[in-house]
Amino acid sequence: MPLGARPGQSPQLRELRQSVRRLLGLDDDTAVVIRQLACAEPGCPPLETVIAVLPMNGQARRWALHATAEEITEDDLRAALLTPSSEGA
Amino acid sequence: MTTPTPEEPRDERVPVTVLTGFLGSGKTTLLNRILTEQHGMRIAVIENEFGEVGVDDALVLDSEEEIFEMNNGCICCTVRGDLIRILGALMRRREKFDHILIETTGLADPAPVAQTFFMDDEIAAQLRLDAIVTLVDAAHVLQHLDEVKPEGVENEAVEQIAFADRIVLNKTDLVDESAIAEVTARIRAINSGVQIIPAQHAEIYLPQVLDVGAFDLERVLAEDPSFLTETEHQHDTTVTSVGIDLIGELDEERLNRWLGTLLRTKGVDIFRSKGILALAGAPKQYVFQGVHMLLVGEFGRDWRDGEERRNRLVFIGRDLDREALERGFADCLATAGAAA
Repeated sequence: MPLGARPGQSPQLRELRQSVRRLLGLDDDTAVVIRQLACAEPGCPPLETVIAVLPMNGQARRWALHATAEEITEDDLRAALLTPSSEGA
Repeated sequence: MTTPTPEEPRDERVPVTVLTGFLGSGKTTLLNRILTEQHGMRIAVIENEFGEVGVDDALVLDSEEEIFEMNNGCICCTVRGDLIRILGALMRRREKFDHILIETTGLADPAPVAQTFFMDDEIAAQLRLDAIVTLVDAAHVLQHLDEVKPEGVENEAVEQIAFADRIVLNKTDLVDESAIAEVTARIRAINSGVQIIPAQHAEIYLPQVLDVGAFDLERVLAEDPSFLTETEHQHDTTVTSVGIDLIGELDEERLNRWLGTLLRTKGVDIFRSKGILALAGAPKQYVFQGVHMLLVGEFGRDWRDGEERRNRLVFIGRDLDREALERGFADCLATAGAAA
């Protein structure tokens, strides 16, 4: 399948989204956006996974994990989300 | 909703129309008409300011533009944070509307709005970008297009035309035939395949802009077979369209590599890309749509018995190198020999 996938068909992204919600204890009004992006920075892997959390009220936060969504384990995710290095928008 | 063919299931996603246009182009007039006319559609409107008309039945939400970068410093990865927040809440009231209309401010860059629908799997699964509709003031658009911007600042009027699937050429009563012809030529020089709808006082037949399936390439091509490749008339402008029409089957790996590199390195300048491709060994057409470096693709209908395997695609963007694009794409053909 060339670049770009059929919308809503990726079980990895669905699971990742559920894990983000659970680990951060997010309410239904908080949006979680996940996208694999090709990173143009030198030394970065071809694909990274960007996770953004946008509460209805309050500042958005964002994390970039240097791995594909498929490669991210629950431990990786927990370590990334629970460190204070999350980036505000 | 898009009419399903016997070959495909009904698309249950909510269609979304994005309305852009400069101040004074008639955007609010059109929006008010959409909100007040009896057209039988239940439309949820997201706008930057509350309109001046009283609206009894429509769902109108106010929103303040919030540009959110998914990737540090990458303009290709900007989305509208306010829309992401609102759309999630809106979808929990799904039974109250059939269609969503997003009005942008006169100076808004359409890219972050469009990219919002390409960025996230969940949003793309529930909502489909139906069309970007740009209102143009026939009497004043040329001065906006010719306005010289400081280095690094985009000309929003050019961008709004480049991104459009439909252009409502409004206020044609204020100009003569030759001016209309000139404006039309300038629009076509930027976005050759766009459908232009002449109007006065933003009076148009609403089905021309609502639920038109402009992002559904198969539907567009059924109505206008030359849509993707009618780009021969080049004008002296930096934002143009390049269409490619090539017979043959594509090597998927080479295509991935070429398209991936192209969008990663030139994505800032490629505003929109779209195409229907023939992948070697695939029984179905591969259909894709992209905004800057974000791309969504899926298999479409089956190739018919005896149907020629043909690739049609178009890029709309700034400083496009037609020869390089044609050559790069031709190298993706399965018959093109060794990988480039």
